[in-house]
Amino acid sequence: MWPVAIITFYEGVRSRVLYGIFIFSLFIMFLSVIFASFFMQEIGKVAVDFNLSSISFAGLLISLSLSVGLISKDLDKKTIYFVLSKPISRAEYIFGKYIGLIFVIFFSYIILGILTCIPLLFLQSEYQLYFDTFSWLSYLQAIYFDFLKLVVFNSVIIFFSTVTSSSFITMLFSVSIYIAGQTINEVVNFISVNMVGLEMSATLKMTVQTLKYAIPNFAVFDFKVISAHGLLISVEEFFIFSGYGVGYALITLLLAAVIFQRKEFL
Amino acid sequence: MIEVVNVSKMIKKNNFRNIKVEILNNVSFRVRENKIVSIVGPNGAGKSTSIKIIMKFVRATSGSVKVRDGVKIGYLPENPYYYDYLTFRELLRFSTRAFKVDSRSAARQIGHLSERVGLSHCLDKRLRTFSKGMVQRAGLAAAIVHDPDLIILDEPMSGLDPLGRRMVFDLITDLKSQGKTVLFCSHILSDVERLCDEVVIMHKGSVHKELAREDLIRAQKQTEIVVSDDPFVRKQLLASDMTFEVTDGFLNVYVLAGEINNALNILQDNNIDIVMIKPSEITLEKIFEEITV
Repeated sequence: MWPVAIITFYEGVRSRVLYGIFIFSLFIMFLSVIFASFFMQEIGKVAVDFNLSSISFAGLLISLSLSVGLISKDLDKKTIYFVLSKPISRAEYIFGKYIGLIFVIFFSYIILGILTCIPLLFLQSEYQLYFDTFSWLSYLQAIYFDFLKLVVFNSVIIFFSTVTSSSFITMLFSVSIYIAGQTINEVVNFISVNMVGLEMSATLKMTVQTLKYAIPNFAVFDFKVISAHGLLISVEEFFIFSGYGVGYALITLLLAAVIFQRKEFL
Repeated sequence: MIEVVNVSKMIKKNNFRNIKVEILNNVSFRVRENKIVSIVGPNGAGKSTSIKIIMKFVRATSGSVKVRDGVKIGYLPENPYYYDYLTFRELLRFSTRAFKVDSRSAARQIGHLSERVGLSHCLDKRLRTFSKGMVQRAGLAAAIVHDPDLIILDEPMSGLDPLGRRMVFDLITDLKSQGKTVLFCSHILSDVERLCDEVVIMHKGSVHKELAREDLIRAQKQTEIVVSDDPFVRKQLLASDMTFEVTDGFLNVYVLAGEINNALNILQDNNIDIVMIKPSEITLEKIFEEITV
C-alpha cells in the first residue's frame, strides 16, 4: 500500500494543476484584505469567513482536479498493469491511492493555512477592535473539519472511480453527492417540519432516512461561522464528528475495494 | 513454472444484447523453469490476453492457470505508460519497495540496471521527458530491478531501435544464464528463433503449434545438404553433432549459412557423398505463415 501512496503523493505534489490552484487561492486570500476593508464593522468575522471559504474552495478544486482522474487515468493509460504486477492487492491499490491523495491535500492545507495567516495577521494588527473574539484555535478547528470534509469527499470520488472508468461520470456523480451532502440536513429538517400533522408515506420516510445515512452529511464539517465567532466545540463533539468522517470514508473505501476486486483489465 | 490448462475467455461484445465473443479457446501450454518461451501470433491472436490471465488482470471463463507458489514475477506491459511526474529512479524504487528489497540492495540494483538499459544518465529525469524507446527501456529495468525468478515481457522489442533490440536480446540471454525463466510475446520472429527454447504459435485465440528447441534449431538452419541414408553416415553425423532429418531415403542435414564450409569439410573428411545442396524450406517465418495465412 505504501509504495502506491508514495508515488501518488509525488505525482500529486508535482502536478501543475496544484500550483495553479495555489496561485489562485493566494490571489483570493490577499483580496480578503481589500474585501474586509469595505465593511465598517465585523471586519474580523468577514476576514475569517472569507479566508476559510477560500481554503475550502481550493480544497474542493484540488480534490476534483487530482482525485477524479486518479484511477481512471491509470486504467486509460494502462499504468494499472505495472502497479498490479507487483505484490500489491487491489484493495491495497485503492487504499494506497487514497492515502497518497489525502497526504497531498493535507500538505496543501498546511500551505494554504499558513498563507491565510498573513492577511489575517495584517488585518488583526490594523483592526484590533474587530478581532476581540478571534481565536487561532477556533480557526484551526475550522480548517481541520474542512480537511475532514475532503477526506470523506475524496473517498466518494474514489468509490465512483471504481464504479465507472469514465472521469466525466465520476465527476458528475461526485459533484451531485457533494451538493446533496451540503444540503441533506436542511432537506431532512424541511420535510420533518412540513410534515408535522401530516402522515408521511412509509416509502418517503424510508427514502429520506436511507438518503440521510447514505449521503455524507457535509454540513456537519462546516465550522466557518463558529470559527468567525471564535468558538470551540466540546471534546466529545470533536471526536463524534471526526469519527463520523473517518468511519464514512473507511466504509466507502471498503466498498470501492470490493468493486475494484471484481474488475477485469482487458 | 507456469501451466496454462484449457483456458477459454469470453467477453461481452455488446452489453445491451448480451452478445459474447470467445477471444481464447482452450489454450494450453507450459513454461518450464530456466527456459525462454515466446508466444507468437498475429494481432488479435490472444497473446496479450493469455499473459493478462497469467498475471490475474483478467479472469478465465474456464480452464486454469497455475504459477509456482512464491515465485517473484517481473512484468513489462505492452506499450507501457508510467507516471509523468515520477523520475526514473522513483519508478525503480517503487518496484523495489513493492517487493520489499532492502535499500542497499535496491540502490545497487538501480545503479546496475539503469546502466544495463543505457539510462544511467537519466535516473533523476522525469519520465514525461522520455522518448518511446526510453520508456520501453525504463519499463524493462522496472520489470527486473527486484531480481525476479520469472520474467513476463509483452512485446519487449516494441518501439526500440536496432541497438535497443540488441540490448533486450542480450538481456534476455543473460537472464537465462542466471537461471531465470522468461516468457515473452514478440512479432520479431528472427529474434524469437534465436532466443527461445520453446515457441507457442497462437492464432485466432487458440494454440496452433508448439515448437521445441530442436524444431527451432532446424528452423534456424538456413541450408540443407542432402546426403544418402546409411547407418554409417547417420553415426558420423551424430558424432559430428549435426542436425539431420530422414526423408525418402535421404538424410537432410541442416546447416547455418555461416557454417556451410565447415559442414562440407566434415562431410568430405568422413567420405560422405553429397547429393544436393539447397536452401532450407523450414523457417519459423514459414511455419508462422502456414498457420496464420
